[in-house]
Amino acid sequence: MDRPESQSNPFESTPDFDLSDLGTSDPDGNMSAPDNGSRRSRQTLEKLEALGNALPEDGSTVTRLPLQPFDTNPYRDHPPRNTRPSNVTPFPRRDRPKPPERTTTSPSNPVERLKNLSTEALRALRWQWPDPRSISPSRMRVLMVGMILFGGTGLLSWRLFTLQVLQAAELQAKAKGYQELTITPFVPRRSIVDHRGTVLALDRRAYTLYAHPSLFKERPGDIAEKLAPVVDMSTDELMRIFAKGKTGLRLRNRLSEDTASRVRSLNTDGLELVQQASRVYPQQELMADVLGYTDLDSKGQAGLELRWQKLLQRKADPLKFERSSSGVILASPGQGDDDQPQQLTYLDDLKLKLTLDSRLQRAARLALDQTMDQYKAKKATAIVMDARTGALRVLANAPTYDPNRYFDADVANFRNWAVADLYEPGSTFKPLVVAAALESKKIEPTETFNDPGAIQIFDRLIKNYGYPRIPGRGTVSVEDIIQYSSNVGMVRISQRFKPAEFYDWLQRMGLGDKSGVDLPFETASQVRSRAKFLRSPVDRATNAFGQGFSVTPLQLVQMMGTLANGGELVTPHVVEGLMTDDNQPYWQPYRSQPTRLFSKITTTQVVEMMESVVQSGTAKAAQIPGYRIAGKTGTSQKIGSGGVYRKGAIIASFVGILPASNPRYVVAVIVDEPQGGSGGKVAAPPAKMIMETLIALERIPPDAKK
Amino acid sequence: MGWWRSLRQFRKNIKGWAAEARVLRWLTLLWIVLGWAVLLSASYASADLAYGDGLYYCKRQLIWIGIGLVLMQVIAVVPLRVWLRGAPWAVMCALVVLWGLLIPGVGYEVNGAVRWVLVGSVPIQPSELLKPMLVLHSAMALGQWDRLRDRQRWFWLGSVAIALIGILLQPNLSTASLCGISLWLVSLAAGLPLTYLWGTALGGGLLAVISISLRSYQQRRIIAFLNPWADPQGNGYQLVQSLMAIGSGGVWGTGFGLSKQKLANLPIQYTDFIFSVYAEEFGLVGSLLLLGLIAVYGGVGLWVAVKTQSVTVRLVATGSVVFLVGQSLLNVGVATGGLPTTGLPLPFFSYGGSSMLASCILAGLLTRAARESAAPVATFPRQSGGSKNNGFKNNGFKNSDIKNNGSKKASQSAARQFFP
Repeated sequence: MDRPESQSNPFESTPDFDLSDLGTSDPDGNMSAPDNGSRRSRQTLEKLEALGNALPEDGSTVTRLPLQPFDTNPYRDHPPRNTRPSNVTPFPRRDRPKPPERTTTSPSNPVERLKNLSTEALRALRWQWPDPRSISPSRMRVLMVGMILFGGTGLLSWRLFTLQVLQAAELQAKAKGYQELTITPFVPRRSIVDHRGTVLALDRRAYTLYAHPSLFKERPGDIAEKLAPVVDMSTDELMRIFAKGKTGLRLRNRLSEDTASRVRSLNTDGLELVQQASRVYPQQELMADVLGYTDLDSKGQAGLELRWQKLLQRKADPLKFERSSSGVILASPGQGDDDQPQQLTYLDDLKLKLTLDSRLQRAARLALDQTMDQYKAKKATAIVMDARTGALRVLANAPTYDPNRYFDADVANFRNWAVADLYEPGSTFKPLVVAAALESKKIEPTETFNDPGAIQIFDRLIKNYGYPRIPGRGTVSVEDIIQYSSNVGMVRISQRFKPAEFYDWLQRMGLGDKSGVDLPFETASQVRSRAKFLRSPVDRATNAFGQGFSVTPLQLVQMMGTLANGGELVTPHVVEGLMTDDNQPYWQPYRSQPTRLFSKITTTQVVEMMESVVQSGTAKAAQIPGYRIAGKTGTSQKIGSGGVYRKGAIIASFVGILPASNPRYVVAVIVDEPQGGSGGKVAAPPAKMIMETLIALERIPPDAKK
Repeated sequence: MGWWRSLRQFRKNIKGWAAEARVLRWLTLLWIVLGWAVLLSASYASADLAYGDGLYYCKRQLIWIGIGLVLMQVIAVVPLRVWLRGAPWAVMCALVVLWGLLIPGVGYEVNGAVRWVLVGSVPIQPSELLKPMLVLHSAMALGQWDRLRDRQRWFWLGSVAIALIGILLQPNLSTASLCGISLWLVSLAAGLPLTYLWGTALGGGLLAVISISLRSYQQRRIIAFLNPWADPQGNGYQLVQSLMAIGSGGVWGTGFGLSKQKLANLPIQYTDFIFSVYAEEFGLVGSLLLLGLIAVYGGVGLWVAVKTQSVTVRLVATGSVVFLVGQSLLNVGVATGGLPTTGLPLPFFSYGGSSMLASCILAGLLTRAARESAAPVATFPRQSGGSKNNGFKNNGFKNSDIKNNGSKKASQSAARQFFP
């Protein structure tokens, strides 16, 4: 930039010039005439000459620099310097302090030399403000500009590579979000109706109200005051929620359409209504155990809603449109004009129809509630099954819950006891053992047995109910054994079987398996393992009167169903199928073929024996005038912790079959831990109530007197 | 002077031009044709929506291209000194118009900025047309910098400063900073002391900071540029949409005419964000090819600048390259989110008459510079060598081009005549 004026020694000042000064880049590089050549070129020339002079004259190997061609510059496009008018003085040179004359003899003292050197170096290094009028155009400067431009191009190429390769997928997905409008139409979950078409569950539009305090344009206090009466919440309550966060605060769930429109009419920023489906159960807790409930996202959480989630949740394909930023929906390529309206309007109207009868169910629930109150029982269940098909007409538990307000319910009530819990069936199982013995010809219907009231089996004394208060009845018929529920008689009958044969029978009845009902969370019944059963005569004896194994109430009903339908083991079920609007079946679930256990003769014989139980045995409370009803009571002790029977903790049960003349329905009532009483006393009366309603609803004609 | 005589060879003798000049001419034509095709795709949908005629912008752009090509050719056949001589006057006129715009009611206001002046019914953007004038003006001043009087230097500095401030007040930060950056690069090429260049850069940066701090819309743009995804519906909208368009292109692009973002999501897709549409339709491959075309253009232009003997011609070439290539890079930088969102058109691509004319004039100046750089006989031969050709090929120059060059009158610096 800055050039010292003096060059005392050409060797010393070599960096002060470069040959490019003589080059063609200099606009005023005319050196032909020393008087009008440029100052700088002239200086350079002088330097070169000094350099040349310094070279040895005699050294012919040294080529002198060809100075002459540089002298005339044909590439000049500016007038030479001397054309400047004389009144314009060339800009003044900045006077620089001349470097001190270098002494030929350097000081002998090295410290002094160093001092000298440092002063010179400092002088040389002293920065001077360059002359703003000086200019040194060179090709390097153009190359610098080029480097800046090409550097920019390179950076942009890298940026493009990042965007179009590395982030391409992410950006494409984001762009799709802007370009496509996905509408998920409000598709209500399928309704559920009962056997007679009464609506049990349906979907309704509901709204969840959210608050976003960060978007509030008014004071939160004002908003809370305005909102409180609409959503039925107190101002304080709202303010407390507003204080919780900045955005996404849920104020209320399941607002009705009416309330939602009132919230909308407040025209307040920062409130958001999110539309959703809300499941409504008009019959409230009536069918709760069967239906279950759905959560806020319309996902089934229990019962049929869970088991048949896929069936109930209608598939609503989200509709995709391309849209512009202004919200205009654009026609998308590949989709015909007629497709979309169809897509929008098509909605089937199939309903899920159940076999349950809500009127009968209501009667059953009433009866159960009464019994629960009367005997302060822990829980109770009632089941009515059409034994010909396995269709359940009633499946009621007490206590239960309201699926509309499942969030308030006791979690324990979500468990459907009738299918999920096991108990020892006790005496209600006896008719099945008798049927098995008759079927395999181990006994004759007319045969008699000796009942001393108690019998020693291996290390255990097996007693009748009430023994020794009620002494042994001596010689008893098979019918008597059932009528008086004789444990000893049942042990005698079971002893006719070979152990393995007896076990086979238990297995064929379904012990150890599930009933296969179309409800979730079913538990399999439990029975001794074959090896243990064959080893233990006590097990064989107790199993004969319904102890030592456990079943679900529903499975007992299933097994009793064999007696009511002429010997076939059917699969109990609650779902009849999907029905069209005009009640035509559209789809029905697959059901396995029933397996035959007994012949019709056997079951008729056993049902007749069971009739005597209601007529004159333990279940007189279930008598209905004019109707022949077969039944069997059971009073089993509950097993507490440690496998010991708990004193006073009983399960009272009654299983009835009606009409006995032409058996069809199995009615079971099972009461858990009633305070006192027995099967006949506790469970038979509600069963009678249910059967009365059943007779009325199904219009069962009275029987001729036997 | 008879410079119009050179117009006679308006349509003739192009084959006799220097190779660089012909290459630059073809590259310009390629750039223009490509730009028009992309404009066709980018503008069709919005033109159809706005005017019911998808070709609305394309037709008008075609007229501007026609005018621009004629101008380019005229500039390429007339000696640079003619334009150089006229530049100070043109700059003065442009400054008057530019500052006149600031008087309320004179300009044509669009989106709160007064950048246009209506000539008849055609809106013209004086700040665009100022760009080639500044190139010539600066080339002349810096080409003989050390021979100028102080007041002449101050005159140049002052006119440039007044021009930049006038553009800045429109307000049009983007064009002002483009002009500032380009003139700085021209000064760099001219060989001004680096100390002053860095000082000026610092001052320009400060000026930009002050301008931004005074205008909240520019502040919001800067913030949105740093993190566009923070407010994709508000301030970051343009950039976010542009990034999504470019990203959607992937490696090979969606194909010509098949951009989805241009349909309505991407704003001003036929002017400032036309590159995003191009990048979506032609992908990384197309984008890199376009950058390659721009780089080759710049390379040839700078080769001309390096090759030429005359500082003034070199500065004209450098200035033209810097304005065309630099503006393209800035535009692509904005579209790809590498620079804050500003409204700079992409030369030869974006719709706009003033921009097209300015770009064509710059291309014409560069072509002319290429011709003159290749001419071994300078425009001002000192001795009688003008007629002798010095043994070099004449490269398409007729004697009429250089006939008068030897005269005393012409050899007097243009600076003396037109700098006060």
